[in-house]
Amino acid sequence: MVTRVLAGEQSPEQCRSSIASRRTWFRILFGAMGPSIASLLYPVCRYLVPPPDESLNTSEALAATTNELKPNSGKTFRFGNKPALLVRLASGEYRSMSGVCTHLGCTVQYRPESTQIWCACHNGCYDLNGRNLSGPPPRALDIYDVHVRAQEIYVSRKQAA
Amino acid sequence: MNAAGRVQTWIDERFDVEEALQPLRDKTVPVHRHSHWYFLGGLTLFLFGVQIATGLLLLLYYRPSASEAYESVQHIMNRVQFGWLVRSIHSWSANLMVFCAFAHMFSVAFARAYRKPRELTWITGVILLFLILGFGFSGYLLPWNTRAYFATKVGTEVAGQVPVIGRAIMIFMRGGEDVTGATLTRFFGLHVVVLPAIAVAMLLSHLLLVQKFGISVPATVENEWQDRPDLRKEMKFFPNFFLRELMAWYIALAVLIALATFFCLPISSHSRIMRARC
Repeated sequence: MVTRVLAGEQSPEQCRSSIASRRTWFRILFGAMGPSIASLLYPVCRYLVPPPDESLNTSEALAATTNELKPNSGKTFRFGNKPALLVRLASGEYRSMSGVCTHLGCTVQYRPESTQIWCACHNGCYDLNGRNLSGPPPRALDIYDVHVRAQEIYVSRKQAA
Repeated sequence: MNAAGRVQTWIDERFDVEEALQPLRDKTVPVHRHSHWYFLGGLTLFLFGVQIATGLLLLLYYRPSASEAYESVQHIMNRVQFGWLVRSIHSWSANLMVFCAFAHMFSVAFARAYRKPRELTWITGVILLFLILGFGFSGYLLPWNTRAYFATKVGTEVAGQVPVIGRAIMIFMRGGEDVTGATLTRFFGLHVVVLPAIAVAMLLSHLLLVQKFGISVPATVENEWQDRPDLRKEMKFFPNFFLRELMAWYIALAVLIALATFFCLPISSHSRIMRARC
């Protein structure tokens, strides 16, 4: 079998100069590929960054209806994309606070026996004003404003006074 | 010795990379008037790679459930940075991949490259072609819009017309009597796990077989070469053919991105019928 190599038809000088100019071309082409590959990676990197969560800015949420909670009980509801807690005190008054424990982010609950807010993960306790009483929580829970409109209880973030 | 050199030596003492690469260095590609058809298989492979890359990106935001699928695709299109581009590339690349796979199949068929001893290469290729169509069919449902829903309804209805076992096939495909959220989760699993796993295994066998038997020369050219051995030409696969293939991929990428950018498909509506199905 006779195999002819394509470049073998040129004289050595021709071959050398053609290799040199081919090398230049090669460099230009590969040099130009760099930016074009970068322009490809840029959208991919932007894509990987999650878009800002719109629900973070939720200022108000419907927590419950007035006939839902008995005195001395609590309910967890969704406020934006985070859990929040609505508590009805024995007096009938409503309180609302963030449902996210300030320690490691577990969801807290209302305990009617101790009339405290308790985190089941590491036994953290808060009072009904959200202040951390015992256990690992480093600071108080955020307190929300409660508005009762007709039969519905709405909760909103505290307005900066 | 520098760090890279030490790593190289460490590997060389344990695994002979050169020996493993030798078959690729010895590989040659025949050069004749029909040589350009040899690019199509590689192009299909490239588009398969694009599908894997963009598919993985889509998986970051897509949610495969009846109540969330459509909204998550809208989220990708409207809220995620360049989400429209990634989805558009995935869709265009899917169409081009079907086109390239068929063109590759016809080029092999017309050149009669499937003749002995390459029948197994042909068979794995045909299986790959059906897998590609399976990807297309299962992927079409995932946006969970009206068009996707009815396309799948009709497609599975067609399968249901097969005598005797048709109905059982249809119910298996739909995950029940009708196209519902159960169909969506089935098709999703098929599209992102089952088909890719089988396709990768088939693709590796296909490439190994191509490597083993070498590249076929069309019968007419083979006859000419038998009469005139001095006309026989070939080029080295690496780097000569490889770099040419790389250029073809680069052009394909440019075409793909241009199509995806200028003909970006919007997500069509999600009618009341669909919401009733959720």
